[in-house]
Amino acid sequence: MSSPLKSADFHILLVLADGPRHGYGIMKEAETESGGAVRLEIGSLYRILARLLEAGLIEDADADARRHYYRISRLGRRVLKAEAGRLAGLVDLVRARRLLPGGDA
Amino acid sequence: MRRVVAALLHLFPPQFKRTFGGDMLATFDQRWRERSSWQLAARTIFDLIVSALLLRFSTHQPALGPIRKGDSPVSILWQDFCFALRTLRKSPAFTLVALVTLALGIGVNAAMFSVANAVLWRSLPFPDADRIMWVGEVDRANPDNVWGATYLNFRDWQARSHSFERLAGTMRDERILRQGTEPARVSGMAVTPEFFEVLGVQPAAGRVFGAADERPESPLGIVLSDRMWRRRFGAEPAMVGRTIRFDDLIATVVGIMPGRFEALMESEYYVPLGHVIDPYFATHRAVWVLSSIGRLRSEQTTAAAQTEVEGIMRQIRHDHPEVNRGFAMRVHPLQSQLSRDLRPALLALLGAVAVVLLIACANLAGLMSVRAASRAREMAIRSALGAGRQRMIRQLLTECATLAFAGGLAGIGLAFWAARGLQWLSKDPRLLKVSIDLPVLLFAFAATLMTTLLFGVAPAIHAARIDAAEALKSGPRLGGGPRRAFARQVLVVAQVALCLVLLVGAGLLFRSFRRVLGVDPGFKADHLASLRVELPGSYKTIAAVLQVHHQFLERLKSMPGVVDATMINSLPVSGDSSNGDIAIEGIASAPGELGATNFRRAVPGYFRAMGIPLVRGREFTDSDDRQHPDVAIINETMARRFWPSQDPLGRRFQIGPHDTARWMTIVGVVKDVRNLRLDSEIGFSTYQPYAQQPRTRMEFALRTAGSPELIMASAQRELQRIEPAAMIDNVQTMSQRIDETLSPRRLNLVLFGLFSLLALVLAAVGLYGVVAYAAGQRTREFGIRMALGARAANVLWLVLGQGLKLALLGVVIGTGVSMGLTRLLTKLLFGVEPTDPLTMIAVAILLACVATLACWLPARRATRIAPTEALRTE
Repeated sequence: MSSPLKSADFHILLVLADGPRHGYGIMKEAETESGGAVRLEIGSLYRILARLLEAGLIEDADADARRHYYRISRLGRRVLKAEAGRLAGLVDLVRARRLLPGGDA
Repeated sequence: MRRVVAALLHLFPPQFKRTFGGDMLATFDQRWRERSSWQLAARTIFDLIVSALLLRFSTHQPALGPIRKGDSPVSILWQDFCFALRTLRKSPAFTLVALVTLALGIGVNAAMFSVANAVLWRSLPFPDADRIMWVGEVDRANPDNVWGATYLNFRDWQARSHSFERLAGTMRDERILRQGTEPARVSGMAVTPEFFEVLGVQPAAGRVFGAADERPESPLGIVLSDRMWRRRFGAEPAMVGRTIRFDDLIATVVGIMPGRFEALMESEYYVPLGHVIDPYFATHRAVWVLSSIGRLRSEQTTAAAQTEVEGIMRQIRHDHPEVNRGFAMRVHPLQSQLSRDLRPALLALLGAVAVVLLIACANLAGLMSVRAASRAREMAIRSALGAGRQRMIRQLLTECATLAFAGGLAGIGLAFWAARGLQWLSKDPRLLKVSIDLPVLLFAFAATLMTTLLFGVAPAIHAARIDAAEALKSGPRLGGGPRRAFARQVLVVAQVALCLVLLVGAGLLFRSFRRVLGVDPGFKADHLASLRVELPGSYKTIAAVLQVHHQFLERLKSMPGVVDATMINSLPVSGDSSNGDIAIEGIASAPGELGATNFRRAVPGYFRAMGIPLVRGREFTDSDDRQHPDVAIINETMARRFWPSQDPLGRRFQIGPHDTARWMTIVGVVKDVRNLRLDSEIGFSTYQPYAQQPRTRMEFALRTAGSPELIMASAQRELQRIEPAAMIDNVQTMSQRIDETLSPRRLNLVLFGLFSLLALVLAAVGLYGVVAYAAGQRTREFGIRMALGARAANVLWLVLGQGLKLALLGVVIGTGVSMGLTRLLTKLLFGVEPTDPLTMIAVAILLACVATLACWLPARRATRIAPTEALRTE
């Protein structure tokens, strides 16, 4: 994955890294964890899930009577790590320019 | 809400819906349980639609395969719609031209419809408004000349008619409100108590009038409009029971009307008619000062009511010959009476915009046809791949409908602004009712549907008829064939013809406007300032009035920059049409038989100051006062009518009823003056010396050396210094006054001109398109011709000639159609015949020039093609 992940994709992967979830669980946690920045209604949520499934970043976990659960795939985990690394690198860069407190300055 | 979500799921690709539909619903249920709110509902719906769109656009499934079993009709429509969007996006120029054309076409139509609907058709805001009738007399020969009712006639109708639940009489009433420091002129209505019952409106506070209020000995009650109550009394809650002070009377507020009542009445207040009517009006039968409205009984028809009142009136005319004037009784809906003067212009403009829309449709049909031709190969391939004929027609129609609806939406937006602009331009209070409401939206929707059918169906059918094998063989350039080309030519001819009709209409209005501007008003209107002054009620004696008016005049005359100053009760071009029956000594006549004269009261020197030439006799002098015999000056029209070969000087005549009116001796004849408006007929005019019948409301005119604007404010100050309580208004230059009377005519002209211009541009674009396309088709042929030695001029003429032939045919047909249609404009014209040859010729030439330009551009391009290149294009 050369281009950065879209923020909604990133948050969904991040939620799923914690363990399998169904749609509503993803929707809620993504919203809380992003501090409200990622608000997904069902249309967008399932559109993105479909895309992530197709790209092999997530996969179907078991299904209960009513709905599917999704879990992150190994590829997904690798992508997530790569993206997190990229973001961390960015944060270091920002700190080095003294735009944020902390770091080795 | 769950159902909405379930329905919206149909928008998604079927595969997606199968996989995720159930989950999405379950997830939504959970979310909805947690926080159900309209914001969430709105967000979800929006999100679903956008997501579906995104998914549809990003999937690469064949959009136009044969209909698969299992696809719902909604989903097919959606597929077509998405495909249409993609196709339209691929040719942005076409899409833009089509959208702009549609938006303009539908927009001007929706705008004009909104005005016509609000003014002409929307029912008045009263219960059973269609039963509220205007009842009165009109001139039998010219029904536009409305006379209304006389007080005594009205009372007889009221007593004898059975067609109406109630009949009410109304009269304009204008007074000066002296509440607080600044006097203010307020206009209201004097009404009989039935007025409020006829309209069926209850007061918002207090009561309306009863029979007791009509008696002159009872205290004067007044009903305020919501507007007056708010504007002049700050919506004071305890208003009922308070007294209001006018210049000449004091009234007690008995009630306040609700705000919606003003939708009909621009009246600020209502007073009881019987209480305030001039005793002269109430005792003389032949003075038409009233308007009458009635509420028709539910079982009664308008025609039957009219027959009944006509019968009553016949009896009255028999009993009182003085009201026998060649009038006819009319009963018609109040709605149409209120908008009578606007009707001809509005209908003409509606017709004009309908023509614009037709031209727009023809234009688009041409565009679509060209486009269909260039897409013939695409269609053929699809058809070869198995797309059904029906499916392809559907696809093309969906494309047209998508365009039309987008255009329609933009049009409604445009209409909204256009209606606002119109209100601002016209200042007619009746236009304030104009709004983009449900009927307007329905109209715009119907216009959109019609447009789709007109411009979409024919090309769609054509396209579907394509023979796949034929089209594939012939390559991309050649589509259409002779029949299609012929259809396009017919469309162009139709556009040019329709456009010519509109241009002729605009031309006639323009010529009329020029004619009105060229009318000699009969006086020198330049360097003239005017103002109206009304004395307060404290001037009780004639001597006091005369004295202060004299003082006013002297002060004005002495102002620097003022060449002359004069005074009359009503200046020219004032619309004041007060008139009275003439009786002439030595000519036996029934009342009203000799006609009526407009009468005014002027001071000595009036004609000199206004620049009105005296033809015979003398002007008024200071000795023409109440101690001397009554005299009068008449206009030339009146002199010519009654004394064609004799000297009118010294003759005597009367204005008003035989028994009481005073005899006046004619001492002078002056040139005709347009006393009412520039474009009204010149009738009889009579001037009497002001000093013999002084009035408290007079108008002053100042002839200035420099610009009259500079004098007006100081003139007003000077007069106020003499009498601070005087009410001064209508402070205007004479040119401003004249200009005001022209504004409806100007607005008609501007709108009609605008629509014609739009039509001209559309027609020119249409012509250009067809000629350019045809020339493009013949590129190869031109190449060969030029290679064989044809000169550029030959090719130029070839292309130009083809286009001009169409244009000229359109001009000829259009001229014929105009001859038949322009008489619909007759009421809006002035001094120009509907079939004015000059206008026709000028318009035909203009159109021919524009057409030539539209053809010349593609023709020139055709000549610039290098033969080698043209031959290579295959």
